[in-house]
Parts: sequence; structure tokens; C-alpha cells
Amino acid sequence: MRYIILSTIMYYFFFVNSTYNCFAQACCSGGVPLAGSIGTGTATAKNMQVLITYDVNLLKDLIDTGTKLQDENRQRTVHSILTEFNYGISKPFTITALFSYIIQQRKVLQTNGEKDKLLVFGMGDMVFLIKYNLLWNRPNLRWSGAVGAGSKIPVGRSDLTENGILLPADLQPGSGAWDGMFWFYAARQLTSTNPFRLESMATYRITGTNHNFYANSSPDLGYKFGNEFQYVIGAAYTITSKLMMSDALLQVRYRSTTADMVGGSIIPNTGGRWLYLIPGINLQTNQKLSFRLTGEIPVYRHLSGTQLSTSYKFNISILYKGISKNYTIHSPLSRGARGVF
Amino acid sequence: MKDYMLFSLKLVNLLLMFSICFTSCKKDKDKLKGEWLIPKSEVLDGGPGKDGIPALTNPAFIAASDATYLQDNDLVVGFISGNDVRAYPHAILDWHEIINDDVNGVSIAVTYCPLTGTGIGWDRNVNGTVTTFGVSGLLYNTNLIPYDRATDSNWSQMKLLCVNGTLIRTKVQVIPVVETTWKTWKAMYAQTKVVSKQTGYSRNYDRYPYGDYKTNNDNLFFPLNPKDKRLPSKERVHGVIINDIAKVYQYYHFTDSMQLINDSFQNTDLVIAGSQPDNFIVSFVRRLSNDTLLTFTPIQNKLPVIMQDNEGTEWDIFGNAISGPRAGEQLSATVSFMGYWLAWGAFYPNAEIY
Repeated sequence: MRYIILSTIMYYFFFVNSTYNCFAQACCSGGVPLAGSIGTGTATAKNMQVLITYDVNLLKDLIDTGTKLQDENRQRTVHSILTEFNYGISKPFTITALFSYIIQQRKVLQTNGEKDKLLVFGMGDMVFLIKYNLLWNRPNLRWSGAVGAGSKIPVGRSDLTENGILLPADLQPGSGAWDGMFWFYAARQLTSTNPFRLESMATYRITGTNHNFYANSSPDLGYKFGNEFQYVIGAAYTITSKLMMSDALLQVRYRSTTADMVGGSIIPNTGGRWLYLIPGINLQTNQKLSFRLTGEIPVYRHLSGTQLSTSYKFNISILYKGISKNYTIHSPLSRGARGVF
Repeated sequence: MKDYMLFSLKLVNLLLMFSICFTSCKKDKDKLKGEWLIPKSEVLDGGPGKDGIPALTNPAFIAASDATYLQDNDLVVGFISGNDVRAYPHAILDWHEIINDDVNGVSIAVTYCPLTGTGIGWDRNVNGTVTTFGVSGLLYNTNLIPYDRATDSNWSQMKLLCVNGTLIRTKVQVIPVVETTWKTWKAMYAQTKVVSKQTGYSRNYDRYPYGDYKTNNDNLFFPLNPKDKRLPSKERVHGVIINDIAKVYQYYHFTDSMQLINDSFQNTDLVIAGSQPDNFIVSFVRRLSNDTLLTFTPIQNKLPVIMQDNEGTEWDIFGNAISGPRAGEQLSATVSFMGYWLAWGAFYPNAEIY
């Protein structure tokens, strides 16, 4: 059972990690893709895991409340490179540090047929979490669960300018504010031999205010991105072959954000509710290295006002498991093949 | 285990160094460089990008009777050239901010900033070249910065001045327009045409895109400098600009009937005419080119005629003499427009309040 629990966590670590999302903004959605990236699992004591994810989010759907407008003049592309470290400090506790590097491109089709392009790139904010494995001393259960709490730390710049002109908050690599982050994870293996697993995860982010955003001209106009809630539920089907393990994945992600605020006032056309369908596949070539590919398609959107929203996303991940001697790692990708290093 | 820790620390170090070295932004063309006549540090990127809010050029018009998307209380910017009467509704301008139009030989750009509530007619003939204006996506003091497509220069809407680019220091030639309600406008000019909702862009013109911004005095999306708190920030005022100094007249000072204010500002004799029920304020210079100083009295319930002078001439809302000894003449228009106080206070510090 310990195997299943840890496997599921590992799977989840791999599965949900980069379901990052974007902040809504009055005119576009882009921004700092961290809140949805806390899907990492827990590591066993003294184990280190490194996950590197490349994520692309294409936003070109102009949505009015729930209706897609026939307008594709604007486009935002967010490329994110997320590097996450998980280290098990003891059997129940894991610390997680996630670093981000963000590349955003804004394109607008002008009336003369040319495209106005702006490229912004830089280190984004980081996330630090402490996670607690709720069932660490109940290894034989088919259930697993963990909770975590921590903070998003504003290490990314939020004062980038273009020729001296301050860029909008959602184009900045960092948000300039400390956020509180809460994370919950639960999974269940249907039976010890059944290849199906069910998993769910929730995150809640309480955002802080960047009081320095307009500091040059109006220090009282602090910028605050909307609070964010996400819930992911999904299933995986494991296929074992002689060459490798693979998982077929299917999950849905619900996300809601409150409106952004500036100077304490709500910014219209920010915030809303989204539902995404996420198909994907995991491949494990050996005990240390795994790969994953997922896509993300919006299936329901109910937004405040008019916003540019995600058309589709995809990401590619590489998971490196630095497995210490004397410890056993159980992975859903290595079911039935206990790897002792 | 040490190996893994060391590996991780090295990776983090590498990431941080990479990140610090490579944080920047680039635009295809450095069009925003060069001299600015406004503090560049106070110019902001509003988010949508250049042309992200698409200006309209020669949009389709419909008859007033077909404009079912407009309510009586909706505000419009009205313009007349000869027999061609046109209305540019805020409902359209909220989404496009600029409408480039040709009206009976006049090349006009109706520029409108939803965040300052300022609708101004601009002559598109700049230094002999007819251009069109687009929305740069930049803001100064929460006010629209249009750009002209002939030279790509940036202009300040409320300063009425080119502030960056090859046309820098060129002043806007203002074309008189009247801001009022749809009800008043179509009552005055039944033959008016109005911009169709079929603009070529897919937008929800039935919805105001900025929430309670129009009425919430605490709601401000972008900084102002200075912030003048003598009046509520969203109070609508009619501002008159003479010698780069402004004087404002509060909408709510005008009463239930047609009312005039004979005033003097910057050694210029003015008449300010307004009506709350009909929802407009206009202003003119009272002294004629031959130095005759006219004195006006209001005319009730005869729109578009609004006043009569001491010689017996009746004048309409655009300052045209409709009947009487001066029929056919026109009063000099002031450089003036309606707007929220917040912007007048920021653009014209220490503006005089009537």
C-alpha cells in the first residue's frame, strides 16, 4: 500500500505540476504562472526530486462573459520554464521550492496589416511550500492525502519598462507581492491490481498587494491580482510493457479567480470561472527519468466582462528522481518493479 | 545525498544567474524613443497594446429610427457639417475610442477616452496631410494617447498636442462637437445618422466595459499626477482651455431649464450654455471679430436654438445664427469639452472652477 500511496503522489507530482494558469487582466490574460504549479507531490525522507517543465499557453480567444467573440486581432503567448525541487526532510514532511522563468509575447494585428509585437522575459516569482503527508504512517491504505502551505515569494521583477514606459502588471514576470498558498491532495487506487487511479487536488492562493507598482506616481495605488481557487480531478490508466511504463491521463481542472484590484477598487474585465479538459501521457524510460506531455483545452468559461483567454496549452516535462541509497522509491510509473538504488 | 543537494544548489544558482542576466523586454521597433513632452515615467502601457483597442475608420451609419441599441439617456458625441448630421455614441466609443470619419468634406476623428470621459473632435488634416488616428495603447494621466498613422507620432488627447514623434509640438485643431443624450440629439436633429453596431468588430456594445467606473468616485485604474480633490473625481464638467489654462463649469450647476453663464476667463468673454434635462454644456466667445460684445439670454424649449443676443439674433447649440440680424454668422467656438474632473485637475493643475 505504501507503494501505491507514494506512487500516486509521484504520479501526481508528475501529472499536475504544470497546470499553471494565468492571471486575468482587464484586457488580456497572461502573467505569472505559479498558482497552478503547486501540484507537486511529496518526496520520501532524504529524497530529492527535480522536475523541469516547459509550458506554453496561447491566449487568443476573446471572451465576453461566456461567448467567444469573432476577433483574433490580439494574441498573448506565455512560455514558462518551471523548475521544481522537492526534498523530503522527514517521513511526513516535504519542502518544495519552485522557480520560474517567464517569456511572454504580445502580438496585435494593426490596421496596416503589421503586427505590433512585444517580448518580455525574466525570472518569475518562486513558490516555497511545506507539505505534510497525512497518511505517512498508514502505508497500507489505498488512499493517500497530503496538505501543504507556504508562500509565493516575489523574487521576479514587476517593474519592467519598455523604452522607459511601465508595462502592465500582467505582463510583468513577477507580481511584486507575497501570496499565501494552500494546497491539498487526495488520491485513491481502485484496487491493488486495477490500473485505474483517481486523484484530486485543490489550491487556494490569497494574493497580496504590490504597493510599489505605481510607486513613481501614485504610491497609494497598490495592485492586487485576484485570489485564486483551483480544483483538479482526474483519472489515469497505466499500461505496462517490456520497454517502458506509460500512463494515459485525463482530468478536468476548475479554476476561479476574483477580480484584480487597484487602489482597493475592482478592475473590470478581470476574474471569472474556467473549466479545462486535460488529456496527457506519461512515459518512464527508467527509474530516474520520466517524461510527460499534456494538453489543456477550455471547455467552459464564464468570465467577468471581456477578456483574452486561453485557447489551448501544452507542456512537456522531464522528471529526474535523485534517489538516495537505502531508500526505495515507488512510482506509479514503475508499478510492480520496486527500484532499490 | 550530498551529491543531490550539491546538484540542486548548482542548478538553483544557475537559474538565478540566468534569470538576473536575462530579464528584459523588447519591441520590434523602438518607436517610443525620442523626446516626450510629457513625463515619460508617467506614461503607462494600458495592456491591450497598440491597436489592441481598434479604432474605427469610416464606419457604417444607420438612421436614428434603426438605432434600437441606444437608450434615450445614452450619451452621444454629435457633429454636423452642412446637411450631414452624425452621432457617435459612447456605447461604440467605449470599445473603440477613436472613430475616423469623413463628413461632408470634413476629415474628423472623434477621440474619446472612457477613463476621463472626454470626447473631442480632431481635425485629421495635419500640416496638409490627411491622416487617421489609432489607439496607441498608452495612457498619460489615465487619458488616451492616440497615434497618427501617417507619422506614427503619439498625441495627448487632453493636452491637444503631439507629445512624441516627428510631429512633436504640433497642436490639435479641434472641431466643435456636442456631447449630449441620444434623446436630445435626435430630438434636435431627426435626420441624424448614427454609427451602426455593425462595426466589423465583434463586441458587446450593449454593455459598458468599465463596471461602476463612471459613478464611483473612488475607482481609479491608473495614476494621476497631480490628484486634485476639490471636486469629486467623476463629476462631469465642461472645461474651457485658453492659453493652456483651464476653467471648468460643473454640469450640476445647470438647472432644470436652459441656463447661460456670461463669464470672462483669460481676458476672453465667454458664454456658457447648458441644461441638465437636455444634458449638455457648450461654450462660445461672446466678443465678435469686429469687437462687438454680445449679451445673451436663454431660449427655452426650442432646441437646437439655445439663446438670443441683445441684437435679436437667435443662436443654436453649435453657435450658428439661425435668425435675426446676424443670421448666417457663427460664434467663435472655445477649445472646450466635457470630461471627468479627475482628468481636468491632473492635466490643468489649479484649473479655475466656476
